[in-house]
Amino acid sequence: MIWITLQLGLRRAWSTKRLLLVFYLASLLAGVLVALPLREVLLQFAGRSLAANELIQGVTLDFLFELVTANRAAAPALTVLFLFGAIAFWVFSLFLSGGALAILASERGYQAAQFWGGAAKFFGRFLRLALWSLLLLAALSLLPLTARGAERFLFGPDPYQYVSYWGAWIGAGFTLMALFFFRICFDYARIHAVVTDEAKMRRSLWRAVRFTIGNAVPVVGLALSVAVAGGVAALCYLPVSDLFDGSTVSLVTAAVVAQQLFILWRVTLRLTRYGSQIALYQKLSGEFKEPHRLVAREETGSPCPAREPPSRNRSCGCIE
Amino acid sequence: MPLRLVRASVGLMSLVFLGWLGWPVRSQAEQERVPVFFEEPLSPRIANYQIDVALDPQSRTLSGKQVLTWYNKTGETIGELQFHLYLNAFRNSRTTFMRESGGSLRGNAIDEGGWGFIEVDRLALSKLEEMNPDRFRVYQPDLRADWHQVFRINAASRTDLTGEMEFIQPDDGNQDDKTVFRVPLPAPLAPGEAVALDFEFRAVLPSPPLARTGAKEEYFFVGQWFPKIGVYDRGEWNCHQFHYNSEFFADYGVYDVRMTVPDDFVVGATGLEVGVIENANGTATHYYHAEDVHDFAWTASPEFRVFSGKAQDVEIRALLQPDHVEQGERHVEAAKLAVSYFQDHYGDYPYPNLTVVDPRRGAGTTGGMEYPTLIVAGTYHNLPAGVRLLEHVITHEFGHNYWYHLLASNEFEEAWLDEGVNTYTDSRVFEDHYGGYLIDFLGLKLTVEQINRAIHIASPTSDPIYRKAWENYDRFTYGANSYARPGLILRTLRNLLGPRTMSEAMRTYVRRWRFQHPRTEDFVRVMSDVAGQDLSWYFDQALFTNAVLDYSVSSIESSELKQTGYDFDRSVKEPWQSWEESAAQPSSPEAVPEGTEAGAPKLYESEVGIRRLGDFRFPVEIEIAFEDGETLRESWDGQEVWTKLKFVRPARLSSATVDPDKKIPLDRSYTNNSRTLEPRQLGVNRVVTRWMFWWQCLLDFLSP
Repeated sequence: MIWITLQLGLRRAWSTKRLLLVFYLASLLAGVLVALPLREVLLQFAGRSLAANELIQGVTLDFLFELVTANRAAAPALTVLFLFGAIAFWVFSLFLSGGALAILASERGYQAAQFWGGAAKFFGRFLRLALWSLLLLAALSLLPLTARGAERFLFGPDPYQYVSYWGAWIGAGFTLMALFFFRICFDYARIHAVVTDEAKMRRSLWRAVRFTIGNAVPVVGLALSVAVAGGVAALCYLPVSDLFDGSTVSLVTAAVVAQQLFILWRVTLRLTRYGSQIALYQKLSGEFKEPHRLVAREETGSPCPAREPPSRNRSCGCIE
Repeated sequence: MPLRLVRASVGLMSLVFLGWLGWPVRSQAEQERVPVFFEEPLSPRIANYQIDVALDPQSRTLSGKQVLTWYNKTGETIGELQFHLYLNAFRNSRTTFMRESGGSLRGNAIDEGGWGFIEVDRLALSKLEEMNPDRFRVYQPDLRADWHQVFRINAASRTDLTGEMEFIQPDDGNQDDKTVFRVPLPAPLAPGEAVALDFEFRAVLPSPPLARTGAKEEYFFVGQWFPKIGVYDRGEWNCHQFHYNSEFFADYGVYDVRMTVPDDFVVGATGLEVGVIENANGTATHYYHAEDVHDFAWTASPEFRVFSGKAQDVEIRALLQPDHVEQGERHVEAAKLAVSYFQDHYGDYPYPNLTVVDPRRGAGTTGGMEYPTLIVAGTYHNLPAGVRLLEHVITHEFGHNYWYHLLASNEFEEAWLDEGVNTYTDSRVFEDHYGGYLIDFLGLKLTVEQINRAIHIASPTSDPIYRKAWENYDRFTYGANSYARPGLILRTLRNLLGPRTMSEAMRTYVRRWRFQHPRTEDFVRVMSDVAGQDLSWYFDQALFTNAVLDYSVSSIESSELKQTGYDFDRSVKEPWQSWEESAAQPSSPEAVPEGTEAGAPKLYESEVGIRRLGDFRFPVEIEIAFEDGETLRESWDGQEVWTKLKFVRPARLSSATVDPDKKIPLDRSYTNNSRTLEPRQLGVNRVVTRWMFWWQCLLDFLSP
């Protein structure tokens, strides 16, 4: 089932290339907005120095220390830029995800009105969902503490370092698991909201938690598969990127192309994840409400004719 | 030395064996077996301590009796004595140390109820029956000796000075600080005379350990723990209070210390263990003897696991915590390397042994510290081999056995002379044996020199290096001025003088000043003597001023040489020359390369501006590169604020670089050392796109 949903997700993502483009351009824009000031700082600092030549091989620590020291005044501004950039991108991604889920759930391919309408419609709900999710996150953050509690219970307040060392690893593992679980729940809560047009986000979150726990094997398996695919892609990318380590314009350009192709693959993977999760959710929960109709109703103010339930043959990309 | 070690080992083994059998150990027998370290004293042996101390682990209390014999070798008549009571730094929140530190050091702060102190309950002064300097020289360690008999102290002449003790605060006048006291002598002590001082004292160790000493559960590290006489130096007592930013200063002597601890405790201490007496009450008395040292520290814990090894003629013993046993051999190997390197490069380490202590978890503040023949390292469970923090701390702390223990400089007033020289030598060890890398792990590579440079360029120039430790602007400045910057100063000097001369200078410094109190001027004199030139121009700037060393290429220009106007393109000609000949005649003949033919394609006039951005003057090399691949090297004495170099060449200038071989790590910025005619955007673009890529990856990873 995981393999089929993955295939389906990939097919859905690939069939909405404009969606890919939107997500990729968002990523590129976020990158460029940060890169330009950094480039300016670097050019000011070393643009007419032979140190700039050495940058082709990478940043040496000597250079980095000097850069940071010489640009102490710029550090707060850059920190704000990075922080603000990260938060803004997260919020914007949340906004886009509403449209993307609406498109992927409808299986009708990319339609600008549907995408932006869905994004606008679900953005407020997703923000509320994010706030509700903080409760879940707080509850899950207790999980790593249990490792510390167990350590303290078993070994006392002053354990040997090898106890605290492995305890820290176990705690880190629990933290990862908690974040992983949180992320899955957040994904399915959004899917639930889109597929069922749920307005109460606490209900979506609760449904997502129940769904995740109730279908732990396929849900976690799917998420792990996507994560593994990302990891494998990264492992493949690293040696390829080494091929473009050189000091010519063409090699640098090739390296940039390789980097952006990798980013494009990451974006594809994200949309694949959305598509697969929608398919899995529809399959396992049996909920087939169609978001685009709801969007249309809100946009036009008039009810739309009920759509036929999605066909269940494989040619249209549904699960048999 | 090997023969002495064999004899010592036999003696020690015999004592341990006899003790294990429960037989009473006869002091006469030991006197025959246990040798002194040195047939002739290596040091003046001014302050000699014989101490009996008992540790009560429950209350962290030390109960001690101490006989200090102090020999007046000052050449002056002494009217009073001054002493350190270092443990009183932890007496309350109002001491100078606590005020300066805010109550914590290296992340450790005293628990409630964890205060430490030392009280001298009794102080009595005796004359010695015979004034024979040899009594401070060679004698046989004795497991049960009565020190009064050994030193022929006339008990009848004993004068109680307990009531005469007076706390003083020579540095800051803080009346709440009780880390130094003075006591007037009943009669002046003439040059060449000696006195014996009987102390009875009680001390409580801070918990958890703070500023290198204290107790943590079953682990005790006992440093700066006994009443210790100051140094009479240059006509006055040099006896500073215990400060946050400072270490110590003391005279050499012989130490015999008998430590009574629970019998399951493993003990490590300065010197060699002479013997152990198993007492009836479940305790054991460990007797350690050390010669020609100026401090004594010890540690005790039932948890220690012992590892051992040998480097050249030095026995190494490592006392490991149970959670670090997997690094036992690593400790020993690092110590072996350090001992061998220092002996090979800086002269003989005269002591027969070295003990490496691994501090307990939660007592890390005792780590990274040095005492004669005993150093305290510090590690973490499962520390990766490529993270060489352990090797670095062992190398560094052992280095102090040269720069502070063989040469007893004043760490209160000239910290750089110990820490800075040591930073230079530990970086040398790393360069020669670890490729320079402190960290070489998961692709991250970081050299010791890079760290020193990072500290150097990041630290403000608030203070000159030559400054009393506690008078630095803050702790970071103290650290930079005591460690990293002097290390770079010596590294720069090495590049100036050459490695061979520098090595010889360092060896000479050790040889000339062993077992004395060298000062900064002594170090500079040795360097100058060996270099064959007066180096005060360098050290004066480096040590006594805030001068910054920073040279840069401030401008670079290159343009086609215009040969127009009269003599070139006008019709007025010299009567004996054709126009063509005139055109070929350069306006500045000495600047034009030989062989430039008339009618040669083009000539370019280039100019490079070099600027000294700081006040530190230093000779520099400048490399000029031209677009046709030609490179030139010029020298500049660096005295003026700027200089300009002009060239006429058939190619345009490409770049100019000050210090192209990076021989001046003291230079605050390598980046401004070069300048190119055309902007170099490729490298910048490469870095920026790479950073952008990783930023995009991060955002993608975090996005919902």
